Amino acid sequence: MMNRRTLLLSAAIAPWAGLAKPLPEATCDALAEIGGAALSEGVVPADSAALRAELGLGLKDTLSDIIGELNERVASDFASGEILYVAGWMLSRTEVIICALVALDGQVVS
Amino acid sequence: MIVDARSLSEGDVISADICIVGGGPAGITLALELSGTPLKVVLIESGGIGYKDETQDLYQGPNLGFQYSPLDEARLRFLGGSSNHWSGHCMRLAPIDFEPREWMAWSGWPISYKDLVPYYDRAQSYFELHTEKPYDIDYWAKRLGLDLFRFDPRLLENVSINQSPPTLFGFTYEDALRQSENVTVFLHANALNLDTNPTATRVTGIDLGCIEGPSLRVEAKRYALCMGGIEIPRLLLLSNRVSGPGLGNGRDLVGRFFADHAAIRPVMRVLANEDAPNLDLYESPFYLDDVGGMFAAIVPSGDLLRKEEIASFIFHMFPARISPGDLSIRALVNGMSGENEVPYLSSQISNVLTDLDGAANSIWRKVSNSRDALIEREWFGPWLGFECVPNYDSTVHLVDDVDRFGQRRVALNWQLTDQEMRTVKRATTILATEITRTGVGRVWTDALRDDYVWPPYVAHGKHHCGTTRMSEGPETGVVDADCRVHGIQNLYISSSSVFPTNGYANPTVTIAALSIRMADKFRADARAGALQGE
Repeated sequence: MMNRRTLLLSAAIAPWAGLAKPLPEATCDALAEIGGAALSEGVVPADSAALRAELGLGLKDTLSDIIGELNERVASDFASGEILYVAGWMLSRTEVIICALVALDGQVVS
Repeated sequence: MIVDARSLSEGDVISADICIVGGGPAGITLALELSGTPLKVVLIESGGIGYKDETQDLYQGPNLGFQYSPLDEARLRFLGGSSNHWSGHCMRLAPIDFEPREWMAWSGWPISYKDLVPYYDRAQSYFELHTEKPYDIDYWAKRLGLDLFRFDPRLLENVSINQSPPTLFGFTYEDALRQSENVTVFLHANALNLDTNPTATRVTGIDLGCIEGPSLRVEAKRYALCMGGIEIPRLLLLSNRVSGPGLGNGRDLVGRFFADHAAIRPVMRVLANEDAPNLDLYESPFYLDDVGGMFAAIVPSGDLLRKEEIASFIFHMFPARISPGDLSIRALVNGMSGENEVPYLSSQISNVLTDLDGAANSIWRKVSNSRDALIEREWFGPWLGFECVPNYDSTVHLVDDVDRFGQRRVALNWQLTDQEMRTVKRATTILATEITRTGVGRVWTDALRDDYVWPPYVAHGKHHCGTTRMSEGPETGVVDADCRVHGIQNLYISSSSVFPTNGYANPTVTIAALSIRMADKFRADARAGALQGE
């Protein structure tokens, strides 16, 4: 069973190598904490539909459906300076959106 | 020759061509450069061969400004001076450090980096350093087969820090000083006052005092003050019998612009990816049999500083045994036990929630009384050292309290500005961005918080700079490009006190380079019969 550490490492810390396999059905407290901080600080909009749209997620899509694209987006974010500061962490905008979606709508990770 | 000044008789006058005051790296380098010449050189040192409490006490004085070491701990007062407690880190200033920087008031040296290069080269041997491409870190990384971080070179560069053993100048050069035929070191002699002619344009002698010993005087054709960035302004300010504000202080610049290197250790924590460069060449000096030590650090490019309009900085990429979660646990425990107020409470809780390894390790160490980590994590914690900009209000000044000679002590009023805070934030952002962009790892830091303030402990280098700054003219400084005090024909200063700005580099090699340059000038002037500066 994936613990918080593994989840954090795979998703928020060393993210998209870990996401090469489908995200587990696990509690996402760590991501939700970061996402909650991002939402409370207004770093990204507290609008699930807008966040999903920014990621290119359809209404019924999950993150697992677009893992390959996410990897590229994260790399592109870092290359282009789309880096956000949330809860002390320097994260790509894409990652922050994911965390925010987890905070808003946990089942997006399935 | 080395003489105990206490063995002289009351009222004795010591005569010389050159009088050097202060037996630290600046003074000893200058003396050794003049050894073997026809010049009669005396070096006046307050202390003896070793440490004595009563001598060190002469350094006491209050700190009135930003957090700092007690002044009698921030330097050492015996032969070798503060080289008796230095790190041995040797670096050269960068070319941009000498340039006027439009965004930094009072910046710009009247000499260039190129002017100092030949003296930097000669300074290497004084510090027992290797001389084969000593500052070419790419060459050495390749030769040693060690990793370097490869960040955007338009932003951040690797730089070599040469590691001196460290050379303790008193211990290392005592024999050379003893054996010199034209250099005499007088130990236990304290410079109390610089006497001048009635117009204060020429120094005519220095009054000396010995603890439990005679009062003496030294008279020379030329004088070089080499005591350091706090004691030099003190002596100039005390020498006010003819010049009321103090010698060389007609423009009220002596003792102003005190600057040091400050550091936040660490400024961020990085969870390294598996393929991140190892830290071997950054963590500690690396030695080969045929070379001295060296290690690497990360510094800004000149172009980056111009673009960002910030002060200079340096990152030491050190491993970190504790993670952000660890830190938070400690802060929370301390806070809950009433020892300290918990800074950024919500952030601490968030860290614990998002860093369970750190929390688990902290608890494990607590219950097991062990320093070992339960969960292995590859964290490193870059230290950020940064240049403090020239600040008119950052001062060394006399106070009413007096020492055993009745000499007024000095206070330090070190002041940081918004520019240093901006440098910290931008430097942190730039490195963190490069770390994430290049896939080295993930960064956690509190330095980018909007409400970030200086942490309870900001390290400092004990590099006392700026208090007799070098300048083209007397309007903006105390000494000229030759390190001669403006308006005084025969008074020179070799010290970090002449640095108008101090970049990221430890100052000692530059101090020695300036002393070597000064010795060349003294020899040339002596040959030209112009030692007295007429």
